[in-house]
This record gives sequence, C-alpha cells and structure tokens, in this order.
Amino acid sequence: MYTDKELIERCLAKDPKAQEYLYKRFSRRMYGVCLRFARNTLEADDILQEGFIKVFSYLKDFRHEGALEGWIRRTIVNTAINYYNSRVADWSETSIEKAETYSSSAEQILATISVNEMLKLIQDLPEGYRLVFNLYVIEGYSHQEIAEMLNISENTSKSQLSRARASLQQKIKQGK
Amino acid sequence: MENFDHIDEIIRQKFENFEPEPPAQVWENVRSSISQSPPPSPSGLMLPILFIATLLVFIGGLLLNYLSGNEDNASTLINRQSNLKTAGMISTGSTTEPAGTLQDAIYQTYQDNHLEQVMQTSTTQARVNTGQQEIKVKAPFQPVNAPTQTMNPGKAKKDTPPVPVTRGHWNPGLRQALAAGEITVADAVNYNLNPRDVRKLSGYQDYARNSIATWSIGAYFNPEVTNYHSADIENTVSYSVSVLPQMTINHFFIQSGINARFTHDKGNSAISYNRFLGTYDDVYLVTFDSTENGIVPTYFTEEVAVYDTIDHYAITETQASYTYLEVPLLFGYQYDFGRVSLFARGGPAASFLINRNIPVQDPEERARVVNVDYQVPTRSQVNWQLMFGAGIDYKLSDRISFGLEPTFRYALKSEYDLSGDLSGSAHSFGIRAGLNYKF
Repeated sequence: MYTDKELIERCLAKDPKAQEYLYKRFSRRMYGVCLRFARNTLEADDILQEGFIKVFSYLKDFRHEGALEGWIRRTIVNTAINYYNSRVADWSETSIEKAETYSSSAEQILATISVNEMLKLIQDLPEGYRLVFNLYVIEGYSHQEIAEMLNISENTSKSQLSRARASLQQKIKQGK
Repeated sequence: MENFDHIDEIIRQKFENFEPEPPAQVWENVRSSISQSPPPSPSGLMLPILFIATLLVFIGGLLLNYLSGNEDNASTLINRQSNLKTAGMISTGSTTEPAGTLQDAIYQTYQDNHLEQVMQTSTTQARVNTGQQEIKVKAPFQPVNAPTQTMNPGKAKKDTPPVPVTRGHWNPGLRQALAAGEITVADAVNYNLNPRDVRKLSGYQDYARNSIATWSIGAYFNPEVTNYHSADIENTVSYSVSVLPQMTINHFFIQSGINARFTHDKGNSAISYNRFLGTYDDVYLVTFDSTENGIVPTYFTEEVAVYDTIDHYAITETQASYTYLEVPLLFGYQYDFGRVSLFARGGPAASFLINRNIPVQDPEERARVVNVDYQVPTRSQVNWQLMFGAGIDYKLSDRISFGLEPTFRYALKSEYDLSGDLSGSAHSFGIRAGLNYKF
C-alpha cells in the first residue's frame, strides 16, 4: 500500500490511516521481540505500547539510512532494555566456565521443541540472563555492543550469557 | 563454540517467523497517546476572554431591551421632516472551565493506587489496569528494590531523552506538566514512567481531553434572502460576515461572537428644492493702495449661487443601507466521521442597528435641497431572532476545516417599526460558508 518513505511522510503528517498501517505492518513481528524480552504477555504488551509510542514520537529522526523495520526493531529492543535494565539487581560477574557446551541431549531437545516452549524457557530466565541471551543469540549483538547498551562490562555480558545457557540446559533437562 | 553457534542458529530459526498477534488494546492505547492535540498556545487564552466579553454584551442587550420596552420603536423612527436650510449644501439627513478539584481527586486516586501497588509488589498479586477494565493477575514474586534509579545505558541512551525521574515512582511535576499540556503521554513514556502508569495517564488524559473544553474560531460569510410577512415589503437580500469563537465539550458546543449583517431597503425620497439659476461675484472687500500712478483699488470677491425662490418637488428612488451588529448565542451538537463532521446548531441572536445610510440623488444639477421626506420603511434599533442551521464540516488539515451550512432565521421581533403597517416578523434562508480554526 505504501512505500517506507510514503508511510513515514504520512505518519509524520499525522495521517491516522498511515499510523495504523505502520502499526499493523510491524506490530506482530515486534510483539514477538517483546515476548522474548518480557516475562509474560502483560509486560510484553507494555513494552510494545511504549515502544510504538516512541516509534511515532521519534519517527522524524529516522535518517533513511537503513530499513524502517530495523529502526523500529532497535527502538523496541531499546525500550525493552530500558524496561528491564533497572530491575537487574545484580550484574555481578561470575565464572564464565558455567556452560561451555550444550549437552547433545539438550541440543536434540532444543531442535524439537515448539517456539512457544522455547519462548517459555527464555521468559523464565532471570532478567540479566534473558536480556543478554536475547541480545546476543537472537538479535545478534556482540558482547562489546551489549556491554555498551547495558552499561556493563564485556565480561559481565559473557558471564550472563554463559549462565543463561547453563540455566536453559538445566531447564531442558528438567523438562525432559 | 561451534556447539553454541549451532544451537544459537536453531533458536534464531525458531523465532524467525514468530509473529503473534498483539492485543487490540495496545493499538488503542498507542493511538490515543499519539493523537493528542498539542498544548494550547498562549493566544488561545484570548478566546475565553473574547467569549465572556461577547456573552456580557449579549446579556447587556437583553437587559437593555427589557428596560427600554417599546420605547425604542418610537425613538427609532426616522425623522421624516428633516428641514435643511443650509444654503449651497445638500445634506442626506442621515441620522447623523475540568475543575481542579476533580483532577486532584483523580490524581489522588491514582496516586493512592500507585503507592498501594508499589507497597504490594512483594506480594504475589498485582493489580494491572488494562485501560478498559481492571483484572487481577498472578505475578511471580519480585523483590522490591527500594527506589532504583533508572539506568540509561549505551545505545538506549542515544535514542531516548535523559531520564530525570525514578522509574516506578510518580513524579508530581509530571502530573502538573501533563495537566498543563506541557508534555504529552509520549513524553512521559520517554521519562521512563512505567508503561502501566502511562496507560493510566493516557486514560486520565483521555478523560481530561474529553472533559476539558476545546476552543476554535470560525470566520463565515452568509448570504440570505429575507421574506417579510407584510406584502408591502419586498424580499431583501442581505449578507453577513461573522467571527464566532466556539467552545466544544465532547460533541456539544456553544458558539457566540460577532456578526455584521448588511442589508438594504428600497424606497423613495420626496425632495423639495430650489433650482439653480446662476452665480454672481459679490464684492466683500475693497482696499486702496497708493502707487506712483495714484490710488489703485483692489476688489475681493466671492462667487454666490443664485436660486429660484419657487419650491420644486421631485421624487427619486433610493436605497437605504443598514448595518446590524448581531450577537448570537448558539448551542449545537456535532458528530465526527473521520474528516467529515455533521453538526446542527441553533439559538437566539440579538441584533442592533448600528448604522443607516440613505443617499439622496440631486434632482437637478446644483439644486438647493430644502427638504427631504424619506419614504422608506423605518427599522427598529433592536430586534431578536432565532437562528438555526445544520451543515457539514470538512477537515482540510488537523486544525482548519471548511464548513457549509444552510441557515434559517426567524425574527421574533420585527426589524421594522411596529407602529406602522409594516409590522410582522420575517424569516430568512441562507447558506453559510466559512473556515474554522481549532486551537
């Protein structure tokens, strides 16, 4: 219906139809992102709402240097980070040697479980683990980038990821 | 590491097409937040003042009319026998607020609930307001970290404004800023208020937006055809220009302002005059100057017109022009259908005759007019009307709309002198078109 440029221009002109179109075009994908970062659907709703309000508020700042979806996704992710970052009580570094590898059985189970089961596993991770796991494993940020985003050290990021993996493996085994 | 990469890839693929449908309420909340109108400009403050002033004029007109009774009819008769005796000159003979306490109550309720929520976060039950209805959800145990200052890290910091407030804690300054329209809910989000708080605020602002009056001002042009019940008066065409501030609460509005209406009556002027016969130079001063050639007189003269002493009569057609200042007080209802809104309005209007002009044509060139008898209907100084209209408003932009409205006007009190044969009310039909600016 609209190209990205047209859509942005119309949204900036406060065209309600265009705003709704933009939301409907990206909300499902972004809701998936929110659900991964959130502990439950209620918090995911909050993040999605807050994120899209930011998207519409700062759309004028979009530089057209990349895809609109990428920009929206980054805004949603940043919203999720802001939402949870302050709740992480302890970013203390722990030994990285917590989970060097997934066991072969855990790997097999991971390959067969549904996306909803996987989502539940991620949602049950503690705040810090979940944040870093999502950012590193699914969003593809490096530890250096994550460290900047969360205002933590690279080592902390690595240790949180390691613990997240260990925790996941443990939960998979428990659920087996 | 290869093991990790492989597993990561499996997980990534699982979420690749993960696109669940978000609840419809989320969009409703987003929409209500982003569609908020900007804070009123200082110039907008003039409108309430103008509105109140207009209202006072209207009430003043009512009182004036009540006190003066029928006297105005007698006093408004045109002087039909205006004797004009000025030599060499022709005279036309022209008569020569949401209450603060309610907001506070709402805020207090909110604040109490919020504090309660903060206090109860260590329990396993939290109350979540979804905007439409309140539901109870089981929430996992979450330790309370006494006021935790929001972190504002890395990339997130680049995309969001500074975070001056503590997350999860209501900042009274924000409430004041929101109430004053200095910031929007979107701004509140960017100050990292908890989204649930924002959701509540959104509801609060929806309430406030719907309950607090919005102001607009319209400028209109309205041609009308007036039909008089008396057969002695021809239908007349009039036109008016008006500036009407409007206060809208929900779908109802009240409108008042100033309307200048221009109309005319056709009639005759019976002129008594003296014919112009010619001029002569009248010496009014002589001076004598001594020169080498003797005494030389200097005559100072002026031209004097000479008129026939016999009165002549002529009847000429004339058109008397009238200007009315009208103060309507209209009540209406409007309903929006996207860019289009339909409305109906009606109410009384006080009409004050502020100017009349009856030109007199010269019966002959340079004639001296002795007397003029105006044979035009005499009009009252004040009259009352009921105005009705229903029309359509089309939004050209967020603030400006174009309105088109058939109008009907019924004169409660005749515009004409009730003592004559021209009594009886009148009614008018017209089309009003104009632009409306929303503040």
